[in-house]
Amino acid sequence: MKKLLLIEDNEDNAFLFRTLIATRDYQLVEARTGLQGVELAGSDEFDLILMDIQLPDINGLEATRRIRAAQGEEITIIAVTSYAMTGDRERCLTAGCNGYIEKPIDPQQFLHDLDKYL
Amino acid sequence: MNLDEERTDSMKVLVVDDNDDNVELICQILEEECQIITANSGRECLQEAEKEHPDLILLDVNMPEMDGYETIQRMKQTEAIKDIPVIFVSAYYTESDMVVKGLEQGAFDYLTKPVDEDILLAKVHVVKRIKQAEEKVIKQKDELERANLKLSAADKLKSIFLASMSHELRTPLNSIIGFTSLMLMEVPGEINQEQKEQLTRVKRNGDHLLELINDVLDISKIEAGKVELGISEFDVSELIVEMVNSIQPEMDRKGLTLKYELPDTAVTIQSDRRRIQQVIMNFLSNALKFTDQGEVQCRLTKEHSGCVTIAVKDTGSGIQDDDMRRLFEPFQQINMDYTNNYKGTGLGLYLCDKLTHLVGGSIEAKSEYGEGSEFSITLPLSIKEGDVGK
Repeated sequence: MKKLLLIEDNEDNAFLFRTLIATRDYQLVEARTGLQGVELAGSDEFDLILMDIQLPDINGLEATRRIRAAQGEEITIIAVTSYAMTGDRERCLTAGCNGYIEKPIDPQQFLHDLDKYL
Repeated sequence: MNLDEERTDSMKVLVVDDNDDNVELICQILEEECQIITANSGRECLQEAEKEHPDLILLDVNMPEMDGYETIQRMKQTEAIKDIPVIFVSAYYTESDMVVKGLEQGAFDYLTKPVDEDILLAKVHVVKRIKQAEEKVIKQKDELERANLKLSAADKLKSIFLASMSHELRTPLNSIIGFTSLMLMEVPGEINQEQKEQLTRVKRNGDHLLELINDVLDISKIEAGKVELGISEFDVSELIVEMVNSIQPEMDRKGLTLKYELPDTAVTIQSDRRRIQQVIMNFLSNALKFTDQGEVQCRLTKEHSGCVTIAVKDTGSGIQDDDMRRLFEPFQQINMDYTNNYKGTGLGLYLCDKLTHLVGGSIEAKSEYGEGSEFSITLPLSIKEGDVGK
C-alpha cells in the first residue's frame, strides 16, 4: 500500500484531504508543523509528501529543503498552497518540490493528480 | 515670521568695486533691506562668492588685474557659484555692444554709474522676486517628491496587502469548495435532489468568490507591472476549438447555438496562450451570460496587415451607447442592481483590456442595443518578451 505524508496546519483543510485520500487505497500519516513533518519524513518511507507552504515553525519551503537534503531526490514532494502570486510556483519548485497544486483544490482534479504522481 | 519669509526678506548682496567710494555709495542705498558683503577685486569676488553664496552680485566692469568680464567667466566655470545672478556696473556703457558682451557672458542685467538709487533698488527687487519664485518652485518640487515617495510606499503596501489577502481568502475557500464538491460527488453518501440543488448553489458562489479573488489579484499584478508573459508558439484555431468545446455544455443548457468559423489553414502565432485564452473565455462567458436566445459565434480571421482577429458575436441584449464608453473601466457592469441575474465581478472586460494590451494587441467592442454585441481582439503574429506592456 502506498504511503502518504500530509503536512498541513489547518485542521479543516487536513480533514478535507483526509476524506479525499480515504476514497483511495492509500495509507495516510499527518503532520501539523514543518518540523514535525521533517521528523516524520525521516522516520518512515513515504511514496508522496503533500506540503502546505505556510506553516508554524519552519515553512513548507524550508521543510522541503531539509527533507531533500536528508532523503535525496527519490521522494516526491508536492506543494499544496494558497500562494498564487507571481513566482510562487517557481519558489516551490526551486526549493525542491516536484509539483504544485493551487488551493482551493478541485477535489476531482486533486485525486486525478494524486493517482498520477503515485 | 516663518523661516521662508525671513530668508527671502534678507537678500545677501555682494558688492564688488575697486573704488571704496563706489562700494560705500551702493551700500548706503541697499543697507536697509539687504545684507551686504563687499569685495575690492575680481579675485576677492570669487572667494567671497564661494564662501558666502550671495543672492546677487553687483560687479564693477572696469577693475585692474581681473576685470568684470573675466570675473564672470571664471564664475561660470565654478559649479557652486555659476548660477548666482550678476548685475554689471560700469561708467563705460557708451556703446551698446559693451552691454551685449556682458549679457552674453551671463550677466543678469547692467547698471550705469553714477548709480541711480531708484533703478538699483528696482533691479534688486526684480532679482528678489525671481529668487522667491525659484524657492517656491524648489519647495513645490520637494513636496511633490515627498508625496511621490509616500505614494510608492502606499502602492507597495497595497501589493503586499493583496498578496496576503489572496492567501488568507483562499485557505477557507479550500474547505468551502472542497467539502461542497465532496458532497456533490456523494463521497460521504447519497444526497437527494433538493440537497444537490442547494449544494450546487454553495459551490457556484464559492467558485464565483474565487473568480473575484483571481481577477483582483490579476489586476493588481498588471498594475504593479509584475506580470510575466509565457510566450510560446501555438495554433489559434486549436485554442478556439478547445474553448468552444469547454463552454458548449452551458450553451446547450441555455438552448443557444454555438458556432465557430476558422480559416482553412492553421493560424500559428507567438504569444501568451494562457492570457489570450483568458480574454476569449471572458468574451464567451459574457456572450453566454447576456444572451437569452439565438446564437453565439466565434470567428478567427487573418488580417491583410498580418494580424489575427478573434471575434465573439452574440444575439444578446446588446449595449446602450452610454454604457459603451465605460465598458472597459473597472466595476462598471451595466444594469448593476440588486435584482439582476447577471453575476460577475465587473472586472472582466477591464482585465481583458489590460491583458490584450499586455500581449501587444488591441480590443474592440461593437453593439446594437437589443440586437447583440461583438467583442474582438486583434493580435500581432509574434511578440518578444521585451515588448511587454503598453
